[in-house]
Amino acid sequence: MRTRRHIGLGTFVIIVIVFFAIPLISLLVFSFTGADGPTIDAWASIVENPGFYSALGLSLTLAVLTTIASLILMTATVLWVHLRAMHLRALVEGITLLVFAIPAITLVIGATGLLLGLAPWALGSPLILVPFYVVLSFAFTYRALDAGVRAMDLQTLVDAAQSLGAGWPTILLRVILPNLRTALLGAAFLTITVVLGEYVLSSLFLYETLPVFMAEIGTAEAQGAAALALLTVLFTWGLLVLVSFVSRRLGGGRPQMTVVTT
Amino acid sequence: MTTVELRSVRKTFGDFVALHGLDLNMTDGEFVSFLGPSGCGKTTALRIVAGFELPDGGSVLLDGADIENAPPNKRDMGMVFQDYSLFPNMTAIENVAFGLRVRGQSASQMKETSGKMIEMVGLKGKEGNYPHQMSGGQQQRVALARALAIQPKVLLLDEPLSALDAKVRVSLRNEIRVIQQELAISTIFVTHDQEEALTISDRIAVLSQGQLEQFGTPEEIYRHPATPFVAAFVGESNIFHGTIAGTHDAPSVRIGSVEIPVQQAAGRSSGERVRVLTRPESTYLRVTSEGDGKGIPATVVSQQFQGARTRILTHLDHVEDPGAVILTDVTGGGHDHFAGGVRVNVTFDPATALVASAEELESATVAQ
Amino acid sequence: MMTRSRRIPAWLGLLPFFLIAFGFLVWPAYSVVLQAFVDSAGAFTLENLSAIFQAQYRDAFQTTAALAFITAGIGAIAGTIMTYAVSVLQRPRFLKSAMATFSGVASQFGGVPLAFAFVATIGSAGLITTWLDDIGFDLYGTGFSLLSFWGLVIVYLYFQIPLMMIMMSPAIEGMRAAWSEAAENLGASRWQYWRYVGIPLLTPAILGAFVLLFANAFSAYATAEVLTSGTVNLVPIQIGFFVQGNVFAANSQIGYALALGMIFVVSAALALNLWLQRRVARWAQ
Repeated sequence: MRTRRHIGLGTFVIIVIVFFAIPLISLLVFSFTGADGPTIDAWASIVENPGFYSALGLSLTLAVLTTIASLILMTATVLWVHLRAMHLRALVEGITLLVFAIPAITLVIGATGLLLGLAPWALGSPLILVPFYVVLSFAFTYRALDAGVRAMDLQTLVDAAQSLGAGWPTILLRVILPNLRTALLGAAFLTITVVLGEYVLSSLFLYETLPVFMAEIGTAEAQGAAALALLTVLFTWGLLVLVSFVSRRLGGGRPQMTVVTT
Repeated sequence: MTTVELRSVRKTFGDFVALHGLDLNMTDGEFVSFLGPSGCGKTTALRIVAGFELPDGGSVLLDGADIENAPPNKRDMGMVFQDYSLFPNMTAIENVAFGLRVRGQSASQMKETSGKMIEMVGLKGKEGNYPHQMSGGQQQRVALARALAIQPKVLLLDEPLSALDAKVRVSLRNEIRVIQQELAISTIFVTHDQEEALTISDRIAVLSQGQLEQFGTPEEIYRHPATPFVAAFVGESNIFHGTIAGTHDAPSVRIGSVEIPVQQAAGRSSGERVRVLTRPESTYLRVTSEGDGKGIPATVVSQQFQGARTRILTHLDHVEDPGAVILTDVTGGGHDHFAGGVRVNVTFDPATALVASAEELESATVAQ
Repeated sequence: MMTRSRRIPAWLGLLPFFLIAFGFLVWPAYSVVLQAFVDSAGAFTLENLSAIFQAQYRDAFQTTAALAFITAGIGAIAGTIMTYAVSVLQRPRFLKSAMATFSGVASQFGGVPLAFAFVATIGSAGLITTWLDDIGFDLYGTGFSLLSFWGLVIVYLYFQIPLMMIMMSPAIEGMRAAWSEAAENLGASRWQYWRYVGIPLLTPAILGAFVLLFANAFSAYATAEVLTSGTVNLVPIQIGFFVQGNVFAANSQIGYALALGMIFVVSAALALNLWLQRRVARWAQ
């Protein structure tokens, strides 16, 4: 009686797993597909394409800058909220969730309108993307850091450190940050993943980041795009799996991984 | 009118043997407790009776008939779980009526029966409350009403009071017993609390590590524990270290430098190191200066006035550990002659003292 | 950065956060709302709003809503069953944690890489397409195309289902074994348990998650743009046209009205989800 149910459910699970596996396998196979059989032409053309390197460089730069900026801003904010402004916690959290109510595409149209009108020069540099990316990272970065801080009973540790004579730089470096390692790593990896895959803002602000580059060559060289897509997938998924693994090793819960930025 | 019998019931989970072949015969209308520490197999046995686990060996018989092939929803037993099992989306009365609903009773029938059940457990007026609006004790009463509403042949309770406050636990267990007796329904009650079991059961099955240690009335279990485990687990015991002495016909135990005749010491080899277990109320003190000198020399450490009785703590002379005390219970108060420092002689009732080897007692107490 | 002085007011330490949030989130959003009610000269008008209820824009809303509804619906059902199945099936042992990691990761899989993954699978030269061709079935001959509404439905499911699994996991895990055992003990069949206890309990969670899935699909831009680049009439795509200036409409402010409409739909969905969450919290003990 119980096993019959299990067979039905088991079959369903297998079907779904197959549905998820096939596109990944296709990416792999397709990227090696040529007119006369398996070939690494697609991969070769990517590697030989100068556009690839500049796109990759741009994406990585943006990712690093965004991550640093976001981590500094959000860590400071979360710590401040927990130490001095608990009554404002709901407000801050509400703002981070506001990002879900303002889809990226609507953010773009509002932002471009404003920028074109008020500071058209700002659109000249890809760095304009960074603050927007930081905003996009609000939700999950805040959640990860907040969870990390809540798990460490911040006030008690700070009080103990101060009673032992430590100044703020010491407290920050030796007491607070080490205990936030998991949260920081989780938030960092997620931010990198999101920035590397971000298309809406970068394409409409007319910057050739990696996804934009991918979309462009996709029309002419589908295999090349598939190769790139595979690379992206492997890299970001590798990062995310690393996050799970690391957070389990270092202890302290897994970071919240729901991000809604398609 | 239902009898429940377990015949050589065995159960293993992977490498772990939960039950080693349990034999139990319950009579009709009896309240039986399965008592033991966590992991002893009591809950497993209950779940096998309920049908949620299938035994790996042996059988369960209801009124003489093997019920192995009956699924849990066809066994006509009512079960009360430890952890609030009330359906959160239903009110109290809807919960109670659930078993009746799945039996296809009419709305008016359901209303009448569940109404009566709610009243029986003392929750009249709370029918419309949801579980999260009720206290733990109230929830368990609803659970009881729900189990009884279907008029089951057997009532099964899986540590129903363990998650409740002490006071609620005491009042609720009495209520359960009263209801059970009124309905004369065969009941199995699983608990790790020996006081609970002693208070409300007709008979108690003491289990340890998957084995039945003893099956008897509360008095039998308490007064005549069959194994060291039962002696150590149920009630409190004093433990005297000694060696077997005396003869075949007059067995005794040498404790310290005193030889005390103990009937239970028979059959053991001379010189064997043993432990003698006595209950505090079967342990006696005599002020040395007033007595006949018989008994183990000791000094009174302190007294604890506990209302209906006074507990006197004494330290035996020959025992090195200053923290090891012997407990003696005497009724009432006013036992000032047993003040701290007074020299006394300790004796005990030789008929009820239990003798166990050092290893037997080790494994019994470790199991706790 | 943080001094011990008690004279620094609480809000001041949050100033950087508030400034960034304001400048790059609140202000652009506000601008959208404002511009939706304003014509190109700057005067107040309701024309932009009325325009989006007509012709191609109304069509866009309908198509986008349909896409969101269908993918959310299928995603909700498949995701719930999947979560339940993984929870019930005890073997293989690693299944549950593998699924948890996978769903966390797959729900992120969107935009451009996802689009090309499906091009590689069921695109006109994709793997499955070719394989079907080899066994005699002409997929594209039936009129199906990846670059269409139904193509998008399939692609969107790839992140909708894992997202559902993530959201339903706590609810499914929270279903106490005691409930199904108590029901069984009282004589209920499996179906009766689900009908009277299981489904009523899970419904708020499922609906809440469904609504979030809807919002998620409604606001998706990248995948649709890369795959269909305008051949499927969707609101996000239309807004994108306005940003790029690829619009033949006389009124360039319509884009803002569209964006406002989208914000409205998504916010309504989020509010609905919040309300449903509160109902779930009642059972959670």
